[in-house]
Amino acid sequence: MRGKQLRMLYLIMIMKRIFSEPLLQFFVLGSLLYLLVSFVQSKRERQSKEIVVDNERIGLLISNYKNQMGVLPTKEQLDAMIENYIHQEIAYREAKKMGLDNDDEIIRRRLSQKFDFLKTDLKEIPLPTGQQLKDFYQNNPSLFQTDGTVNFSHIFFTADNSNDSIAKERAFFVLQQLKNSAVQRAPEKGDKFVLQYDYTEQTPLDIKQSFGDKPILDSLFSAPVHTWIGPVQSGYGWHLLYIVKRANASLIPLEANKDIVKAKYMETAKDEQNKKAFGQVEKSYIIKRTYLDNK
Amino acid sequence: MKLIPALSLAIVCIGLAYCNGNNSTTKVEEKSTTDTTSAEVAVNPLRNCYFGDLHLHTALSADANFFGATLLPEDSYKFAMGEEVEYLGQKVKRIAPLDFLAVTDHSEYLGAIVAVRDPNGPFAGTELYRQYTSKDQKDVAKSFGGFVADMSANKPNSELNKPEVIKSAWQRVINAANTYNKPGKFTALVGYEWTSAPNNASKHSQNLHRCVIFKGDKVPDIPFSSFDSQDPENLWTYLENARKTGSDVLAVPHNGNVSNGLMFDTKTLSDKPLTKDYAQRRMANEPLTEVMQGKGQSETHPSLSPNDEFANYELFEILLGSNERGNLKKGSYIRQAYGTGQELQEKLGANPFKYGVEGGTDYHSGISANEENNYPGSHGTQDNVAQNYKMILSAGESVAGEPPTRLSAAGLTGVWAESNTRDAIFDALKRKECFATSGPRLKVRLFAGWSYNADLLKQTDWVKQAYAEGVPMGADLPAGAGKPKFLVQAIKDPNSGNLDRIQIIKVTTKNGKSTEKIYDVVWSGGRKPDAKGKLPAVGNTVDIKAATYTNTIGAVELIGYWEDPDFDPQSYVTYYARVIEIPTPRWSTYLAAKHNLPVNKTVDATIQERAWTSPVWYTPSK
Repeated sequence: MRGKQLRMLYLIMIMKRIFSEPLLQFFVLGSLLYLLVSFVQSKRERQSKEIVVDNERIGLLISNYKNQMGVLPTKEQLDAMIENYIHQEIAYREAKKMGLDNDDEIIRRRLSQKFDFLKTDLKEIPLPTGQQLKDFYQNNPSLFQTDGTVNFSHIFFTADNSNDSIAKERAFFVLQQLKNSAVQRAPEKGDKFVLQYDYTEQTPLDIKQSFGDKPILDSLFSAPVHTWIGPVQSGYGWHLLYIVKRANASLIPLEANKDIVKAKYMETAKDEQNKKAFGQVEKSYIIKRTYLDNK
Repeated sequence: MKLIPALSLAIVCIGLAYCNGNNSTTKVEEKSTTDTTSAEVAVNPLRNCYFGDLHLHTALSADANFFGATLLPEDSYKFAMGEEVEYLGQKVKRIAPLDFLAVTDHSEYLGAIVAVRDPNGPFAGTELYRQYTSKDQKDVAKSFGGFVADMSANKPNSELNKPEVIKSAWQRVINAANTYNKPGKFTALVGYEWTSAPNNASKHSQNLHRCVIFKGDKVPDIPFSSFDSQDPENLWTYLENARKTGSDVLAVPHNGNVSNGLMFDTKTLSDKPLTKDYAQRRMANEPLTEVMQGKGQSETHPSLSPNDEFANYELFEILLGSNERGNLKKGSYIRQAYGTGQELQEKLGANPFKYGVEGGTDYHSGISANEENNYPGSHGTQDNVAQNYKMILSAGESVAGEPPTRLSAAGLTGVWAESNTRDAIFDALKRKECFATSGPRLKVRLFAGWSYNADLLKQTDWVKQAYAEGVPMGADLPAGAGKPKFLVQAIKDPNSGNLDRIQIIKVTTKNGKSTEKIYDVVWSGGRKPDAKGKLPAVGNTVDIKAATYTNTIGAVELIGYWEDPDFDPQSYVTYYARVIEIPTPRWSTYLAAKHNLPVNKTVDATIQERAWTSPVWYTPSK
């Protein structure tokens, strides 16, 4: 009995010594970890070779088809779609295993689009108050700008049945008469003009259409107002101009265009929100612009 | 696990977008109706002149897409309104903007090539996607060859010809027009092109194309295509049905010049003799024909009008995509068809060719860039003027029909309408109060009546009196006594050359025989006709090497009164006016000067741009 006890004690002592040996401890723990990892890995492998076609999947296939074609698929079509799904899934996993998704431009683009899509427009933008709308309108003049316009009266001198220099000289002659007068309109002092004598709110494009891309365009938008100027040339001949009013590029009135301003406000607010949301994510990245290093 | 909710979210969103798409069209419809009837748009009962293009292709057209076009309808409208757009890497902008535009993409495969190349589109991941996006010349040839073969056989490739793709492209066309339609400022019309081109015996295409132009946006959910039928009579049925359920609509046949005589044939496409019913249906559905466009003029040919000194103008004679000259003897040009139509009218009691005229570009670039001194090319990489100017300037022929040099920087439609709205412009087109130009914004009025006199033109309200006592272009001259009298006025385009003359062209038919005669009505300077009645040429100020000209000859305005000295009340008569500008450099001459290269010898270095009015018709009372 005693001998047996002694042997046991001896064994325990040896075991204790062995187990207190760090190298052995490390070895045993390592083996256990190895077993665990290989077990988990093989389970994953099994799962990655498993394709589940559940009711949820079938529902997606059907609603996808219906969205595109407007009708429900037939039994044969659905079977074909299921086989197609299985084929696609296998091909997808095999391709991923082979690393075919690495550096594929289309996949990168698609994934980034998906991410942007999920990240954007998450929070509803509250409708602007009257004051917010007003501030937005005032702080963003470039969004609500209209072309500059000009109102003017003119006298026309044609070269038809004479020539260009005679027409121009006749214009000079009339200009001398008018220069120090109070006259603001005198079409009768020139020739009959085929279009109008008086124009209001003409934009540069309007002038290009009706008078041509000629010196008259510059004069109308830069010459002094309330005085006779000329002669300037259009696509028809020579003109003396009296500019009644010129409105430089101006803002559309807020009151009459609240819908337009509101639409722009919402658009801008959404953009800002999306940018902010992305900025939050961007903060967690370190971006190294090494292309700038060599400059 | 996270994938499923994301996917279902995406699907829900697609579903919503799908429904929204439909909803938003109805909304836009309502909006545009109220817009056009809005009281803010000023109305001129004596009618203003508006200029536009009723024929333009974008990347949604399969052929344009193959030519490398990338611009879409939205870009086309912006460009027409005067905005700058980027075309083949160049910034381009019109000198003078347009007042209206209809984007008319081919309905066959509408939008299919854009869709097939879309990495996120319905074809993503398919073999077709790979083939169409491949840079390999074999794949490119296979794609384009397949398309050409399908069109030539008129049999669609079912993989490409997907109704859901065409419908969504069509919706895009409609939405773009609705977005850019600004009543009173700019009119954007919904339209497309029906591309029928039956083969002749040698398997070359005979052009029967028609552009379809809608008045509003209540349109069928899919355009009728030549895959549905190549017979215009079936297109008319589609138009008649569309009219019953939605917006009014008209079709505009174009390029009779390359129809191989089929456009104005004296039998139907199904080889039956023409009937009164056919003639009336044809005129009810297609009141206009395109007389001038990028692929030449279809007014007349020198061989048909040997006495017309201006007939040799921007000819385009080779059948599309072939090297075969078309039949020019009969059925290809409108002036001759005016006579043929009257001959048929004598027999049938109705004239099938009582066409008004319009002009378009038919460009496959997405932009109506038809100014001679501002022409960037019109068919994508096929004639990229910025890059391939050497080839373009030297090419005299091409394996696939006429070389790019022969394409014209043309044309435009002028309409006389009360205001610049869809309703007013469409109504003007329908009553044929419109005209064609070879590109310039050249204005022309034509009135006919029995009681006009020369003094009328001296009065400031002559237009008002002309309307009150007679009819404008496009109308029938009512019965009257004496000789028909005409008032004509032309005003130059301030960005183009002065005017040489206005002519009236008269096509007379009696007892099955037709004759044509040209009268010079009013001209610039103090020129005197010679003993034979021929007016001397206006002169030519063009410096070809520098590509410049001066407006020291010609007139800014021509206005005149004319009565028909040879009028026979027993004859059928078609009268129309033609306005001729002084000679100016052709686009190819501007291009040569820019690069200091010789001009192309196969085309004219200088041209006399022009306008053609819709006719006025006289019918003898029986």
